[in-house]
Amino acid sequence: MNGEALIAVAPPGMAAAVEDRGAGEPVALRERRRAALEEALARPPPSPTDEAWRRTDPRRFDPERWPIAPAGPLHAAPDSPPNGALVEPFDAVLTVWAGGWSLADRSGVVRSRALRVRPLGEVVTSDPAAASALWEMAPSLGPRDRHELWALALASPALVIEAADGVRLERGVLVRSLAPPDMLWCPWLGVRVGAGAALHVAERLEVGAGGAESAAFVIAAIRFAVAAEGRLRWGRLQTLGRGALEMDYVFGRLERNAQADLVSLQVGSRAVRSRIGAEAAATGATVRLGGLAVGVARQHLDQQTVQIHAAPDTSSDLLFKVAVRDRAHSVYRGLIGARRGSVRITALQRNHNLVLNDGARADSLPGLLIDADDLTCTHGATIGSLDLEQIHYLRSRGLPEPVARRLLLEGFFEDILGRLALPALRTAARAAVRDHLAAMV
Amino acid sequence: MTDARPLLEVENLEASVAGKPILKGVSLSIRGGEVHALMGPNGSGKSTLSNVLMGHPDYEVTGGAVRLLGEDLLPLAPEERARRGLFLAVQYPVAIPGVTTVQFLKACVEAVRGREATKAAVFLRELRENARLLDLGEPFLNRPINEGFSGGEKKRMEILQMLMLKPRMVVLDETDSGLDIDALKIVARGVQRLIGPEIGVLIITHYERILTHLPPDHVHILVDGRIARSGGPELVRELEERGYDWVREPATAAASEPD
Repeated sequence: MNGEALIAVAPPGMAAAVEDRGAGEPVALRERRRAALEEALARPPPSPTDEAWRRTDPRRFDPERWPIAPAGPLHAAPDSPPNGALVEPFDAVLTVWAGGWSLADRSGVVRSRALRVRPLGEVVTSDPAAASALWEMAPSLGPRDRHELWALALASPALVIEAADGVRLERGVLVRSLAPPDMLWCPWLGVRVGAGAALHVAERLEVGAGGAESAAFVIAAIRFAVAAEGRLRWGRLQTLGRGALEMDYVFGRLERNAQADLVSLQVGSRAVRSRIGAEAAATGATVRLGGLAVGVARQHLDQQTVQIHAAPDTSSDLLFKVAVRDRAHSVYRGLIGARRGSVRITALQRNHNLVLNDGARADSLPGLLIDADDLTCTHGATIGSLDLEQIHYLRSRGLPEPVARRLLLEGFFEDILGRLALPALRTAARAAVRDHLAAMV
Repeated sequence: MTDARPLLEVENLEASVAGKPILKGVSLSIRGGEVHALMGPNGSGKSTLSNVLMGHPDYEVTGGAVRLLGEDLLPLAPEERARRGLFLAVQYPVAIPGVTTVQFLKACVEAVRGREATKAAVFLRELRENARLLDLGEPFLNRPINEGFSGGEKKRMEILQMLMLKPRMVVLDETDSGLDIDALKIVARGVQRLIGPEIGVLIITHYERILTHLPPDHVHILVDGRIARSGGPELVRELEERGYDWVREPATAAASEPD
């Protein structure tokens, strides 16, 4: 390809859109948007010869034909309330759409100031260091890629969820992210968990209208900061339509003895490119990362995980599972980074893939970048198909082969779904995965 | 009191694995209410017979017939055989990670006995009652099926499945292997719960001890893919005393005789 530009340098109308978003914001945030845009424009275009893009054609994520979602009110909040079973257990429901957001304070946690949700611009003004820390986090060890920079420059809405020190919001917050059909949308979400606080965040990303076939291009940035002794449990279910593209950049930092339990569930979209990671930045921090992806037809699922250890006595445990069939293709890259001095750490990374027919493909590329001694670090990957002996066993108990296969697939993913802390999200995720798996068998 | 019509008829059955003939003309007839024992030395084809009966894809039937309640079983898929009332308690039960016993059994019971049998209150009461009979506590029901189970627990789980599916014809493939005395009694108790005039049982075993708990009406000795001898319970004692050589020699001689 000789490194020529394969995709647009920037989404059409990007410079104007950046200015438009920054118009009512503090100067510091406006400058950050502009800086992100400049950095994006200075980046060489992604090319299949780049290691990061070698297995994922960058043209899949070309923004050229996607108009940028306006920052002003594009449409009102959706009329239909979210599924009752999914809403019921949450303390608060945050609905986010292009041009706006709304917050339902279901148990008075916002009124009592245990929980706050506010625009990033307000945090920039009141707590610039915290805002800066969230904004600057990067989900990789290398430079930010161009798509992420677009997402920063175009972030809208850019919101921060904050759990005050010491509060325990076990019922947590449901974030409903409703992508506008046929547009490029870049929501940005920061999550701050105060010292000794506990917070659950469950996000469901779907297209706001248009049904299962609808198209959208979402580049989401999610940042979280967990203060000392804090605990974050975060789960994200992506069920965009079959015409959609989704890219996400999820990254967080944990302070002393903080814990984060992160689960990413990729079920929808025509193509996904997901970056998810965390840095155990201080002694005793613990990270658990779980993910599943289900690919059918010609879906392309590209996932990269990063576990960074920057302090002694930290631990991380990652399990990502993928199943692909038809001509679906998944790419998993996992990186464990141990910085100098991060002694006595434990870092585990496992990636298991099921390839259900000859036309489907799964690539698994685990990696280690170790700059410390005296640590335990393991990584492993498997690629295989469903076990014929298990299928026969289930059939011998009366289950038709398609049911046997579906049950085995559901079982394969169950340890990931079991990591979702909130039963309602678990139920919704199981249903979404089951629906998608029904197409697989 | 037994039903006159055979439940299971195996007629001159021949089968091979990877092109190698294993069963060379096995014939059996089991009626409702009867318990049959099938014994034989290692490699004689006992497990091949059980796998062929259940339709395992690795085994090729090259001749003969199998009928369950008069219906030709061989063209049927394994799940169709199960739905018609055949149950095989396998020698090495496989684990199904992520699928709990309750979830698994509910799907199986619905497939075999119909949706009516899986109505929550009825199904759970029946499941708990059967599990108690087999000394399988509530935690087992919520664990992934056979995952991390001991050998004895797996065998008891097979019997639990049998009780829940209510089959007409049961094949126990070395269900007694690896069981201690107490576990063996529990397994036998589970099988006794099912046994009745409508039910046929074929126990494949190496040992006499399970047969003291589940006394057979008929005993067959399989040698080199053929039933070398059939008789009453006295055959078991004879095997215990004399081993297989006295059966093997005439069978081998018979096999080498010209037609």
